[in-house]
Amino acid sequence: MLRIAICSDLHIGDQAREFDLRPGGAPSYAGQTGYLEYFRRCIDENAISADILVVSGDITDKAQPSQFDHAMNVIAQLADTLKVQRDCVFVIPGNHDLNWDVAELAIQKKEPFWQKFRFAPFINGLSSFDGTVTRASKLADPPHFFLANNALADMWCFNSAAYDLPETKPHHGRIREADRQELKSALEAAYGGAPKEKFRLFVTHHHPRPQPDLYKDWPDFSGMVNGESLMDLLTAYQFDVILHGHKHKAWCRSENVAGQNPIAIWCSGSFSLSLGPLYAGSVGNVWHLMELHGLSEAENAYGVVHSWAFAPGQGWLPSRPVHHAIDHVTPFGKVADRAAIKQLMRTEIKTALKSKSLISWEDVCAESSGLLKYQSGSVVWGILEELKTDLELRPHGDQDSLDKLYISRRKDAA
Amino acid sequence: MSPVMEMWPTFSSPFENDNAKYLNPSDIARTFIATEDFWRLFSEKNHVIFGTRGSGKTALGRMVSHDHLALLNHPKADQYIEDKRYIGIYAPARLNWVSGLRSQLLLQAGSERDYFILRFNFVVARAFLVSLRSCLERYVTPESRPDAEYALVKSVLNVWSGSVPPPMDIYTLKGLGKEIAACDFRLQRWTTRSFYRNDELAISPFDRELLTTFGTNLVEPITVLRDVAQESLDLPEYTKYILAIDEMEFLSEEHQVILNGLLRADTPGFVFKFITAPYCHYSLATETNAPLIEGNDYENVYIDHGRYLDAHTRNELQQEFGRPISFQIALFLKRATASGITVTSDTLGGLLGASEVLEPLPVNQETIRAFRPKVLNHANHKTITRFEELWTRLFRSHNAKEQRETVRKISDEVVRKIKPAIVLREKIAGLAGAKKGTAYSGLNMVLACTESNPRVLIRTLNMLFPNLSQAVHARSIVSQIAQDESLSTLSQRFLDNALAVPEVGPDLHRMIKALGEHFRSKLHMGRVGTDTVGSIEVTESDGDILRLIKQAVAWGFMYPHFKDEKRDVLPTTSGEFRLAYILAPHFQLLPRRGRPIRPSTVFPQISLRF
Amino acid sequence: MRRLLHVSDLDLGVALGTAYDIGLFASGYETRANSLATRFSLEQFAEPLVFGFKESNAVPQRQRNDEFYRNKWSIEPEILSAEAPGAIAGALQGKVNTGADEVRIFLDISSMSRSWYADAINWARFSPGPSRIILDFGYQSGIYPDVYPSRTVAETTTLSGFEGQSDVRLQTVAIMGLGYDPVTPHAVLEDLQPDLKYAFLARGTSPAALALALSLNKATLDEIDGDVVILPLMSIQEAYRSLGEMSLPHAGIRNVVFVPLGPKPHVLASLLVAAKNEEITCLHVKGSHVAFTDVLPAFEVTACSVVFEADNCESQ
Repeated sequence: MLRIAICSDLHIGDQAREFDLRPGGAPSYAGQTGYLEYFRRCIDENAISADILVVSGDITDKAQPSQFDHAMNVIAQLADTLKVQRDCVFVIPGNHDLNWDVAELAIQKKEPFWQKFRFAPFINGLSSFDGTVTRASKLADPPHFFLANNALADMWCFNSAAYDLPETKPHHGRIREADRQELKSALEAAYGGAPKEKFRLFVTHHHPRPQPDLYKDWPDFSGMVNGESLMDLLTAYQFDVILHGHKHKAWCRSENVAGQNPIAIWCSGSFSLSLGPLYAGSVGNVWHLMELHGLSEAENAYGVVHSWAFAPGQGWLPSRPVHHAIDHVTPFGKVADRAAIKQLMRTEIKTALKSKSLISWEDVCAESSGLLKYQSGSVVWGILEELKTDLELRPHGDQDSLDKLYISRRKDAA
Repeated sequence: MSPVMEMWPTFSSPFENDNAKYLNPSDIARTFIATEDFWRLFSEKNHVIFGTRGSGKTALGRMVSHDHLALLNHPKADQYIEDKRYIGIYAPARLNWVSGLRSQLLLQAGSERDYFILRFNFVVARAFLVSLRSCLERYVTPESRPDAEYALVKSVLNVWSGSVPPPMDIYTLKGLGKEIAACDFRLQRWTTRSFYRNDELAISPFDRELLTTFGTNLVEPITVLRDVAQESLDLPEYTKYILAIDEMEFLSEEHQVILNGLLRADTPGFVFKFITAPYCHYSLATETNAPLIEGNDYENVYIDHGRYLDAHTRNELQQEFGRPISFQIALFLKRATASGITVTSDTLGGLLGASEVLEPLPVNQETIRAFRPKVLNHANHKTITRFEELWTRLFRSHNAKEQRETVRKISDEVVRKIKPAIVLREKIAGLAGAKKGTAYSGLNMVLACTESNPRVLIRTLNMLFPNLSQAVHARSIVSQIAQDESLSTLSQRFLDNALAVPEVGPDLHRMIKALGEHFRSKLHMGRVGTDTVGSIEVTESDGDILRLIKQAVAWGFMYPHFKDEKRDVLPTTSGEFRLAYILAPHFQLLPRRGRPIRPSTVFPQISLRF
Repeated sequence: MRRLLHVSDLDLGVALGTAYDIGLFASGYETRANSLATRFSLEQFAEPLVFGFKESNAVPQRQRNDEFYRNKWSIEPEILSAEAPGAIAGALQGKVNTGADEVRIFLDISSMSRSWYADAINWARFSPGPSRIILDFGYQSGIYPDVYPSRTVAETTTLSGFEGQSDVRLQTVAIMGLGYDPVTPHAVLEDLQPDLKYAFLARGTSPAALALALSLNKATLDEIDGDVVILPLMSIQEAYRSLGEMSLPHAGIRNVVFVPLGPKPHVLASLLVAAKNEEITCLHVKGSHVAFTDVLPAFEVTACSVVFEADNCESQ
């Protein structure tokens, strides 16, 4: 099993929510403190540890050197609390990590020299993590990605904010076609023709697909330019997970393309930004722990994600879908089309009901493929509604939780 | 299990939680101490149960409900559950619920009476469904349970909403309860919207059916639910449904008058228990002009008048701990044991030590000789005279038996009665500057000050033992200073709460302060006798004072004195009342009743606004 | 129906330069009651509305405040009870151009009864008419006497329209806003007996103010779960965000009860969170002080802008 802690969009600086997230005495009327202490308590109380820490962009608010220093300090504390080794910390720049003053100079002077220094504070800040300066430099220069790997996973990290500029509105990301071609070559060299043995993760800041916002009638223009092509590429090379930030409302979906393996796209939300007027009262600060349990027979990763949201005075509490947009436990990865899941449920339920008149969902999930164990409550209940007439079933339980789901056969059935 | 589904708070100390409201059912059952008063509730009679703040009313009410009683380890409980003799239902009139009843906006939609009946019916129906779930778990085999539950749900929906189906399939009683609560909330929101939009209430057909069912007659939805339950669960004819309505003190007099009808009318299969604070059953009137008659329509139960363990509990505790155990010690033992801490009947005494003030002196001549100077220093003329008379008799007697008798007499008539006052006076007089007190310490003192009020006792223990396990393991006595400080702090806070009693807070606070300071001056200044003042006697002519005292009793600042065995009848037009003993540390008094005074002794000096 | 879109702090200077469709002011017995009004010019308000409390009619400072509106604005304050559900909404509905796409209203809550601005919020949520309503709230902080008279509690009710959910079989979470009255919060907790209790306090305008509030409320704070949350006094946006976050984990699975007993900006923030999440109950502890005590205007002023927008679709 591989455990990945995901904390994104820290926005260290004036917009971070608490004193200990603002570099050296930056004025604030927010007034709260102890944010990292609450994080430590959450980790201790839940006995959590992780193998990898991912911080998918916008680690600072205005890309000032002092903010990067402080951000790295905060990230180091997060890593220590989670017991993550320094070289297993992956920090990707976001659009806020681009130094706009330098970017302006680059535009005015029209010299490649300044272009390089837009990410200088980011690179310098990352020097506190062993071995990451090289990685950071790769993010700054074309093709703006690097690969890090261990026995279990390949982490491909890409800087989607490389070409962001102060006047770019909204600050959508981009993967240039030239960079995408380079990525394709690298992927071919790494994976071309070989069987899949490890998890494949892609970490970036911007979302490659449009993402819904707080209200359905709000359009999303801030996604990655050329994201479609990137998705085609990642799908073709059997990637399992895309981790990104940028949007401050956590979100997840599974992308299933016919004939390809599914990819879980996970938006981390924001760990510590003081969320602005639009999100306040509706969305909270969140962090996640992704567990990758294994590769299925179809060679795609499956697992669960646990998510927590912050409540002042109370600390980190299990997140809730209604208000934090993401449930505390989200399974992913074992994807099949609805018909296949329905057929499997039909078979397993009928089999289980042969020996018992009342079965639990756990009984149904005991099937060998493990497919059903990784389905969400909404999928399961939806299919049960369809099956109950056909199989003369009676489901019992709360639709909030599969733990309390029981199924019996209707006695009044003819 | 989803971590957010049923999250009960967790407590680091067995005494951190002083309220039965937030113990989960098995915890409350495990720590519940069954008293005689509790079992009185299981009868065919209606009851009005009075108990002051923190007296254990809510625990009592919750334990009556079937889901809690089924968890109680007691032969009577087992028998009632097994025989299906009683099915208890617990419905609290919580403050946040009652506050909504007073909403001017929601009342615009209809009459206050109709609105109350509608909301009340929703509450009791929801509560009844919880008890029915418990019945299902007890009386139906696991294999048959899902179908039985579904059939029950269908039958209930049939009588409540007729042929109109709910917005989605409901399979469980829990789901049905949630839908009821959701309907209640929807109606409330629609009323609000209609008010501001000034348009018609647009509600779903299902909600309209429920509105009709729940808005017509008081408790009718649960009487039909009872009929369904009887049939579906095959319950015997003799099964009695006990509806316990808690926190009735928050309801208005008008609301209570409506509910009084339940005590008067015969609702087949049901008996009713009103749980409220003393003097907070505001009226005996009913809507039919014929008032309730105590003894006929209902009986009172006053749970503050001593806590008598029932025989089984008494014997069990005695067997377990090797000696008779009082209610308070039992409370400590149960809480500690439930938290996994190994304790004995001596543990609390071992942690608190003896009370220098309250511990009786040995009965012998040497002790009396040593005590004599204190008597001469502190006692009044009458007491000294009596003491000297007996003292002289002692030394004139040469008969050993007569001497022993005299020693006993001196001890009983003088020393035992006056010793606590003298020791307290000396300790208080010895406090100078920043010197810390020690008077309010020791097991007997802690138990006396907390009386048998569970909440006060538990709060005190929580303050004294933030980590009981550590304290027990270390076997160290909590210092007298720490004990005194804790009791004094709690005492001060308790008094401060008087300010916030609605309408009369400042007056109540002033009255208690005046009484306390008067008793203090009598105890600490001048000389004392064997019967120091410590209570107040009021008659009907003291109208306003009596009214204020009743408020004090309702809120736990004062207690009535029962002169005879009618322990469930609160004095109404006259009586003797004393301060709650938890106030003793603040006023530097003894936790004892004391001789009564008349109001005129104290109150001409202050003016009361009420 | 309109959804509460966002709450953001507003520079008073911006408000002073804005043309409003309606201005809503309260003439109270405190000197600061019309302090904000003196900064505006009447011409900014197409429809100015001034209400005076029935309860403080005879207080001399109140009469002086009435004089201001009478002489400078030529408006006679309309007498209204402090508790009058629907009255403010009715007045607003009477003045608003229901055919407009957007209306902008300024409300001075410095000395305004919470029932009034609660009514205004409900009106913005539910009334027919413009698709967008912007309520700009202004608050003048005050200088309180060293000894503020104690309060007699009359009854505990809910603010109209903010009754919330009270499912008796669910646990209750109380989120208490504390101020300089140490007794009422404790008494409310004793009555409510919530399963979980949290508290928040205003940072105040000085460390001494915060220290005083913490000290006065020690008895209550000793009993709460979690840590007390210190919120800025003069940022309603921040208070709104934090109170939303405090209630989000519990909304829908427990009864969430706000008991805002602190300063008005926090009362407003509490109401706005409850407007956004209808399950939340806002308790209203009614009471009276022994005497009317004057409050002078302090230096600090805060304002916030609350946008309500027609709810054409569901949230995610």
